[in-house]
Formats: sequence, C-alpha cells, structure tokens
Amino acid sequence: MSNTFFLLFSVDLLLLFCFMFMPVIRGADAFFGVRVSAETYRNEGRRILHRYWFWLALTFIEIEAIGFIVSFYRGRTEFAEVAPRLLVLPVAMLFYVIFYKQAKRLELVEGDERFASSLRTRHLRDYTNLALEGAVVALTITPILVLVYYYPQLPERIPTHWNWRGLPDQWTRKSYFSVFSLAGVLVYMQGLMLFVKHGLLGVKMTLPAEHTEEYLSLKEEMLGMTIKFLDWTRLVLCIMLGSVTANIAFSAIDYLRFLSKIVTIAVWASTALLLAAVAFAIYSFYKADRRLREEVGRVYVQRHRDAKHWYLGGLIYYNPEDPALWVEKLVGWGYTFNMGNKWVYIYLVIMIAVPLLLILPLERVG
Amino acid sequence: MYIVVDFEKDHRPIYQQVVDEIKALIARGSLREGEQLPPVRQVAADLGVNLNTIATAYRELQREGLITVRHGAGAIVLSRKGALKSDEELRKPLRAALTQLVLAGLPRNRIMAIVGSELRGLMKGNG
Repeated sequence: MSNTFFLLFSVDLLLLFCFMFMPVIRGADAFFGVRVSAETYRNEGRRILHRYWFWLALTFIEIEAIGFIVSFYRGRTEFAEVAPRLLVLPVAMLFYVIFYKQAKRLELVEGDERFASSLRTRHLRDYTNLALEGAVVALTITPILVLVYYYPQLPERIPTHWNWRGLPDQWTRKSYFSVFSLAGVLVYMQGLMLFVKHGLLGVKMTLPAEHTEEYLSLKEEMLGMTIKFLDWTRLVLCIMLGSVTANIAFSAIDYLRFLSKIVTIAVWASTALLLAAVAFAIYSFYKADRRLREEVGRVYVQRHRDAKHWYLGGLIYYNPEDPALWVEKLVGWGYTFNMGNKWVYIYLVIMIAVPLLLILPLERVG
Repeated sequence: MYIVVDFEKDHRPIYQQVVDEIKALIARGSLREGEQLPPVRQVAADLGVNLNTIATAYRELQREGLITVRHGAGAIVLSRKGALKSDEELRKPLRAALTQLVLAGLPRNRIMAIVGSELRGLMKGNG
C-alpha cells in the first residue's frame, strides 16, 4: 500500500473520531444537538451513544476492510484509496442523523424567558494586530514582485505543482494568467479571510439573564481566540502560498533553483505550524468550555424558538427570521452560517466560484 | 455591559424594555456621552427579535434626545440629560410605579427603602 493510502486512512480515522465525539462535545446541553436533562444524559443518553459508537466503528472497519481486500485481489490501490473516501462521510452523517432522531425523543423543552444582549460595539481595529498585518502584506506582495521581475526570463513551460520533495511534477504553458493565477489565489485567500473576520464581529451571542457576565466574558474571549486563530492562519497561508508562488520562478530558472529547497522547507514548516495552530485552538476552546461548565454549570444556552431551527442534529442552522449571518455552533466549537440568511449564498459563490475560475482554466502540458 | 429582556413575565413591549434598559445604563453612567451602541442587527440577533423592534427602540431613544442615529456611524449616546420635560410629565411614570407598590400592599418604609436603593443605584455614576 502506498503512502497516499496511509495518509487518507489517517484522515478517515480523524473524521471517525470527530463523529464519535460530536454528540457529547457540549454534554447534556447539545446531546446530538438536543438539550436533555443531566439524568437522561447519564442513563438513556449513554445507551444511545454506545449503540451509535458501535455501529459507527463497525461500519468504518467494514468500509476500510472491503476497500483494502478488493485492492489486494485486483492489484489496484484505487479501491482502498478512493472508495472509502466516498463512503465514510455520508455513512457517518447517516448514523449521526439516525441516532439524533432517537435523542430527539428525550428533548427537554424550556420556555423562552429572560435573555440578554451585549451593548459592546466590536470594531475591526480592536481585533487588528498591525505587526501581523504588515507581515501579511509583505509576504503577499514579495512573491508577486519576484514573478513580475523574473517574468521575461521564465521558460515557455512553467511548473504548476510540486511533489512532497519539492520537485515539479505538473507543468503548463507560460502566460500572464498561468504565472499569476497562484498569486491571485494568495490575494483571494487573504481577502476571503478578512471578509470572514469582519463578518464574525457581528456574530450572534445568545446570553441567558443569569450568570450573564460569565457567559459574556467567555464568549468574547472565544471570539477573540477564533479571530487570533484566523489571523495566524492568514499569516501561515501567506508563507505557504507565497513560497509556492515564488517557486514558479525558483524552480524554472536554473540559477535560482537552489532557492527551491528553502521553499520546500518553508512549505513543510508552515504545514506543521498550521497543524499546531489547529491543535492549540481546539485545546483553548476545550479549556474555555470546561471553565464555563465549572463556573455556571452549562456551556450552551439557547432560546427554544432558535432550537427548532437546527437541522440534522445541530449541524445546520436555517432561520430566515433570524437577522444573524454567523451563529455559534451547536455541536462543536466555533461558528457557522445561518443558512436562512441570503448573504450566505454570496459567501458561498465567493468561496467556490473564485478559486475555480483561478485554477480550472490552467492547461496541463507534459 | 448588557441589557436584559424578559419574554414571558414582563408585560411591557420588547422595544420598551430595550429603551428602559438602555436609559438605565445611561442614567447610571455605564453608557457615557459619545459611546457607540451596537448595530440594530447585532442586538436583534442576540435577543432573537425582529430588526424593527430594535430600530423602534433606537428611534424612541433618539426622540427623547438620549442618542443620535447617524447613517454609517451607528447610534451614539448624546448625553445623560434627555429632552427637557415638564414637571408633570416627569412625575407621571413615578406615580404609576409608586401606585403599583402601594397596590402590592407594601408599607411606606419598605417603599421608601426600595425607592432609595433604586435611586442610589442610578446615581452611582453621577460622581
């Protein structure tokens, strides 16, 4: 089996763990996205969870094993590499929804009584680190300047993809579009993430009237952590995509080829930094959640009329009457879209169409 | 700093509760002159109410001279002193509140204690 198989298998394993812990990440406040009593959570809830884990793990093993066995007998690794990828996510989603329906029967219905709203205005400037923004601008512009300067010296065939050792393995014909499309992706990614950051400042925060101070300060802290994570991701993406953008010139021009090695190191280092940032963010959210649970007993409080608008066990929020665009996730940490807000579709078009327009027209040459 | 709205037990309309809460924050000095209020959309989303409810509350506060709503700049607190009202106009809500306390059967000294404590809370920020 190839390295790709083990890499993809690890991704599947990670997905399996995510689905295993999603129903219990917020405890009784959102068990499969449903608010249940502490007692139900400990008894009937635990039994539902164990059944869910059993079926999820069993099906996962079956899918991976069938892919592996078919690959072994047919002598083609595609069955082990591709087939499970097409099945694991839909099957995990299916089990999650089936068991959510069982948990739904145990729902604890609470009335909408007293809720609070923060009167603090969140300004983008309060969440902006000027040194980091300076570094992002420098790391975005420098590779573009490198390409502009070396454009006349670039050969007719330029690299568009590199293997894990940093050696080119795909090429295309030289044109302004093919040389600068990756730089376009770099600028687009920065623009998109700034757009998301700006949108997150208006995130909906549901605050109960009891322990409001504790909830508010922790929710603001979580928003600050998310935005800091987003900023660090922007910086790391700049290093990663900026290096690869400049690598078009470095790996195509003979006397610059020694710089390709530095690019490979930068790409691997930024990947490691990105993974470390994700792990740190998850740990910080977990710690903040635990602190809130210890201080006030509950980590997620929402109005009953909002609870009715979560679908697929708290995975999708659709409420056209809610003016919020971003809402706190019911299952897991961080934020998600209110799919009932028409602005979401503008986001989705920007997220999907722009990268496709920048990458798809590239013509492959041998 | 936050405002609280009661959806079940308080019989005042939601917009009035928002007005009264913001007024109390201005009176206490928690919201100072020149401070910006969050956009209508944010407060409406947080409280789970219609945009018009919060827009009406902001308009009412503007009508009373406590805030100004500028296009693009949002709502800004003007001053602690609202538009001047006559003595009778000022007494009317106080009389209504005192009537409630008397009808609830509270003795005079208890009412005086409640009024004193509320007033101390409101005047804390007056320096």
